[in-house]
Amino acid sequence: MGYLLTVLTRFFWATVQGVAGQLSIGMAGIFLLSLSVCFSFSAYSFAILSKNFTFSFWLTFVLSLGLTSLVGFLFSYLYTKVSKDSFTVLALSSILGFDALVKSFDGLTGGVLGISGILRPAFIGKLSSLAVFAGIMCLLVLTMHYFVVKSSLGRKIRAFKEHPVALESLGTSKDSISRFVIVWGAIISSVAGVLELMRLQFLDPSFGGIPNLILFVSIAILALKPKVSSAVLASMFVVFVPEIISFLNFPSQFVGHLRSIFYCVLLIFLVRQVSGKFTISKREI
Amino acid sequence: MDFFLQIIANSLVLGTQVFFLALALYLIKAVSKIEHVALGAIATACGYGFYQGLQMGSNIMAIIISGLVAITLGYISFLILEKFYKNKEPLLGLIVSLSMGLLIEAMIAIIFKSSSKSLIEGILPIVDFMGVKFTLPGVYTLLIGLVLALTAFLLVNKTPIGRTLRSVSENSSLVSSLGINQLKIRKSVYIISSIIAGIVGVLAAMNTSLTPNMGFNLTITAFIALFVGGSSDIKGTIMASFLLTLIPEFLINYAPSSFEFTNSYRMFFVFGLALIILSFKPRGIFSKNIRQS
Repeated sequence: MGYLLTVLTRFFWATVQGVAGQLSIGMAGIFLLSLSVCFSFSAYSFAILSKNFTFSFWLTFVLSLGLTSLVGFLFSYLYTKVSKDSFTVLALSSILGFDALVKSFDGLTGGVLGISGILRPAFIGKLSSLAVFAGIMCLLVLTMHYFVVKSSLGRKIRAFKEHPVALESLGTSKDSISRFVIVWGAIISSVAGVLELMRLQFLDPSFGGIPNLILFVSIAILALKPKVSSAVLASMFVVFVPEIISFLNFPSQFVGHLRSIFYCVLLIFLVRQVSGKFTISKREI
Repeated sequence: MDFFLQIIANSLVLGTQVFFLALALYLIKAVSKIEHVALGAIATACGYGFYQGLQMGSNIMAIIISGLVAITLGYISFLILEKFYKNKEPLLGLIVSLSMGLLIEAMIAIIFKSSSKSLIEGILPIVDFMGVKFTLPGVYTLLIGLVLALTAFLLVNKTPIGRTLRSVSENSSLVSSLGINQLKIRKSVYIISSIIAGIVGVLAAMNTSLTPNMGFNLTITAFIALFVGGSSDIKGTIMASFLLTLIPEFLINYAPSSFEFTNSYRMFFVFGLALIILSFKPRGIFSKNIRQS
């Protein structure tokens, strides 16, 4: 039962993280690879705040969301300054930069040993109640995402990807759309980070990072259509299939790498399939 | 003074390794506009190929195996990434390249296990040059780096091959109409870049040790050097490769002791430098302003 609840909780935070990826990569065409930094940053800020202050769970949660939104603002500023290629590479390198920062400030973050003994509040003390809580948070995020997708804002975000010049000519600033997508994506990722932290109750530099990047990019590419159902189905596939595969009798040296191999092969296959359909191609005169 | 020169020497060796990878990235970006992140993993794979050859007891075998690994992975990279060049989707190419790199690292970890391996057993031979100590692999790195930098600069800027390369980068359809097989050029560039990455992998492994994910940090630093230097200018790439290794090294060793900067801060400094430079010079520090139509 514990295993099923663990997988279910993973599915809920992966869906939340996948929604952030779908919003930025699928809808806006912004390769916000630093969402895994936001995921880790929110977990670290929650852990540090809860260890050093006696705030309530909800206050700590809101504060970590707020702090992560500042990271989102930093990346949104960078997006307006540099080219798309440079931004993508900087976002990728921010994962290593954050990893280096976490390992270096060991007085605050515990360095390579990490932070342990992060307590859950009483109302999510048991794994079953945590799974319910994660489900509710996931549902909230999906509801908000549904309203974003269906609103004029959602249409503007899609226009930002497909025809940014037309978007600007209709009076909407490209910068404001990119800022919203990046900051909102960072906030959604931070929710996922806190949910996973509550499950693990332990944090170290390997939290998030490249595996998280591959996970949410896989969901984002699978869920390219801007629909809430696509995000849910995509994260079901990405979370549950490796769990099923792990029950097959692979040699022991494969066991620790199955998930990485599955995600990488899936991503290579998927991205090659969607290539050519990612943006509306303009007719060349 | 000796300590100061030693820091410069260490930075030169690391900077040369970064430059090798940045050159390989530059070549691929020039012809296909794709950031081939998997080059770091290809470098690592070649290092392991070299290790396997040494285990068979022959240096020649080590060179042959690592060469074959480089050529094979270069060709596979071309086959997988060519589609993204044709569809003009370089960022999707980056995602696929990243996945390829992680897949290669996972396969290496499965075949060779995650524990570190050494290409040179025991203490590395040291060369003393005017009070500054270099490891022998470090000396090889510097010598090969010097030759490669000069060759690359002359080839790209002064020869017909370099002109063809630049024309493929700037106007591939015109190049095709002139009867030049650009597919062949791109394939060759992928293979040559993989061979260059393989040389980095072997030299880096000789200088430190071989682990499945040793290439990733180096690739990211090389990428940043490419963008900080200006991705259209090889001179900028060379300068940025050394700046991005020298400045963090000085910050770590010469900052006031109250800051307690350690080696683990290195990637943070590289990222921070890139952030600052690209905020003010988005096209790179050595880029020229160009009129956009």
